Amino acid sequence: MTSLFEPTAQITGLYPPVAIHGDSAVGFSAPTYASGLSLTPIMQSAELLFLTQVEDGEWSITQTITPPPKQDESGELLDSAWQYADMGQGVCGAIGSYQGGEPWLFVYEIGVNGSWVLNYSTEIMGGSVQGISVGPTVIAIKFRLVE
Amino acid sequence: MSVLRKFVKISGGSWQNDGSILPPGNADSGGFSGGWPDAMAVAEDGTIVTSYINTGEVFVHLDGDPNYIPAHTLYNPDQDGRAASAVGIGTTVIVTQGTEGPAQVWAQDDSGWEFVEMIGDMYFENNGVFVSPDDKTVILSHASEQGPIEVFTADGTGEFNAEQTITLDRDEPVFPLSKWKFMGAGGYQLILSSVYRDPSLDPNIYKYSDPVAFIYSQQPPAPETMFWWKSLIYASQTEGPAPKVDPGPGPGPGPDPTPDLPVAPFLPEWADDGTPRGSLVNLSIVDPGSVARLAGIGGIYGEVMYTNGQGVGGLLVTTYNSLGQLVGISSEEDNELYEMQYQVGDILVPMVWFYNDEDQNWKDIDTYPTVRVDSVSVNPFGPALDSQWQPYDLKLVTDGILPDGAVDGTYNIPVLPAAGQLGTGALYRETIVDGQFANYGYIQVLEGFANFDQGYLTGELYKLDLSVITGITEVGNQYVQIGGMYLMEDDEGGGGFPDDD
Repeated sequence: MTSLFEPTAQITGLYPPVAIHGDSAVGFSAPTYASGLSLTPIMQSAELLFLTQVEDGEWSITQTITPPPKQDESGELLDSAWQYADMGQGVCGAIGSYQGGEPWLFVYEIGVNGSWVLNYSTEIMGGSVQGISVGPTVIAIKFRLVE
Repeated sequence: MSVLRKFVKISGGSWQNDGSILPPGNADSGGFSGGWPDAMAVAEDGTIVTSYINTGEVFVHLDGDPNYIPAHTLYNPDQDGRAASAVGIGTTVIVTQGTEGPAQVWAQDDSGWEFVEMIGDMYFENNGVFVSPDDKTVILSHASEQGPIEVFTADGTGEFNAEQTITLDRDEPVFPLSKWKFMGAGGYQLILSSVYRDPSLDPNIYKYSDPVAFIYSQQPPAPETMFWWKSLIYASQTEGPAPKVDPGPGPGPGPDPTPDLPVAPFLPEWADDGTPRGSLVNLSIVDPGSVARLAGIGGIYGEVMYTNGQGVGGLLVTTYNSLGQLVGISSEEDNELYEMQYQVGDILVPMVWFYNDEDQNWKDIDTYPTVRVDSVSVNPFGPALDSQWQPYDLKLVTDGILPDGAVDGTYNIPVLPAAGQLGTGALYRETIVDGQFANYGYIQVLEGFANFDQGYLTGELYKLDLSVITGITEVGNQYVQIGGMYLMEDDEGGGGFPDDD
């Protein structure tokens, strides 16, 4: 029998959407677009924030990750922002958007020193991402195809 | 048109695009209306569940189906159009929410998925559902300020009882233009992030208050009693001399710790009659230095079997943080196939798997095959890893009596460095039972955790007996020793080890 949920921590500055699993949590430093919610910010976040429970009930932001840089055909860096993220057991999937480019999926996993390490990335061509759901072995992305 | 793009974790630890899941149905049913799906969730076994906008339908896509045709379609005609706003899936429970009102609960049984009940009160702006992997906890989130977080627990009859409501405690303007509340949950943690639009600013400018995230923690279920093995001994050393630790007073033949190797015991507490029972075996018994040494990867994962003294077995998974503190325990139900793995230094080692039969009895262990470590070797074909870490192979062989119809074999376990590594380890065994191909077990090491692809075993008990140490091996500068684990039988709660006689 599990117990009731008890408040253990407050973290100021962590924008939704947020996800958590065990000792790890993830959120954003600024609002991100999220369909289906009552409030729909148009801003996107430049930073993905990973939190760790460093002691029992004490959480801190332990990593700040910006979208990996991408260049256009002329070599110019594209403006980038995070759109979505979700976390499963030891896995975090995040969607990065690039101005004038296609969205990318970035998969982070806990590395040997406890930090989150980029393990996989891929460009998702042909449309726009509208949501992500992450499990330990499967990631699903809701994707709207360009008509 | 919207589709689902699916990515799966593959051998070697990376991920790959596994194709797209196209909207079921047709334009008339809303399948190609462009908004599909409205919500989705991924179960721990890879099952994807989607809620279908406009129709109230819910689709279940099983992992491994190359065409991703819905294996199940859930539809509650009494709640037409509701299942669209949020969805969650545990193992045999799916919960969906419409944009407002209570949520719908489906449960899976032998005949498929059946609608069970509606849960929750009448709230608006529903925006989140969480179902725990053990199907015992459901959490409903509502974005509106009037809607608290609702927590439900399974009552043991397949239905859920309202257990708790959580209302955010923060100072906000009396009339904010709008609020935003988002929920995430997992691993006995719940996080709620709250932000509101600042009414003091130009309404044409999206300006928000500072967000505040609230984390709530839940104590995992605790066992009544414990025990399973006499002792589990591991050794791991990366540098320097290590303490010599007595493996403990457990009865029966245990491994003979090599004096030159560091040995850290996992020992249950022992009753006067030598039977280990009465308390949980956990990693806290390990000397703190070992815990700290093992914890550099962000967690320790110990898995402990227990019995409640009534012939009921189970599995506890204890999770420790980097400080060696117990941060989570999860348990499984009876009559399930379990795996166990231990982290040995920077290696994850699948240790044992077993089955609790339908009568909740453990069979005579002597009649079941023994698998022993044959060798530990560097895996030269392991994926490219950080130079600090080295992939290993553990070659296991059987030397016991196999069940009728089973085929003996050799078991190769590519053991990769533990949590967070770019790789997976797998233990795979195939055999023939009653003329049918059967997959006895597949352990995939995933970032420090394991998934067990349950095979077709019924009423069988297997042990991976690592008590016979044939491979105390020095690999690089690390010693690896495995052994000392004994499954015990449990007949009507009596317990006792096969060799106690």
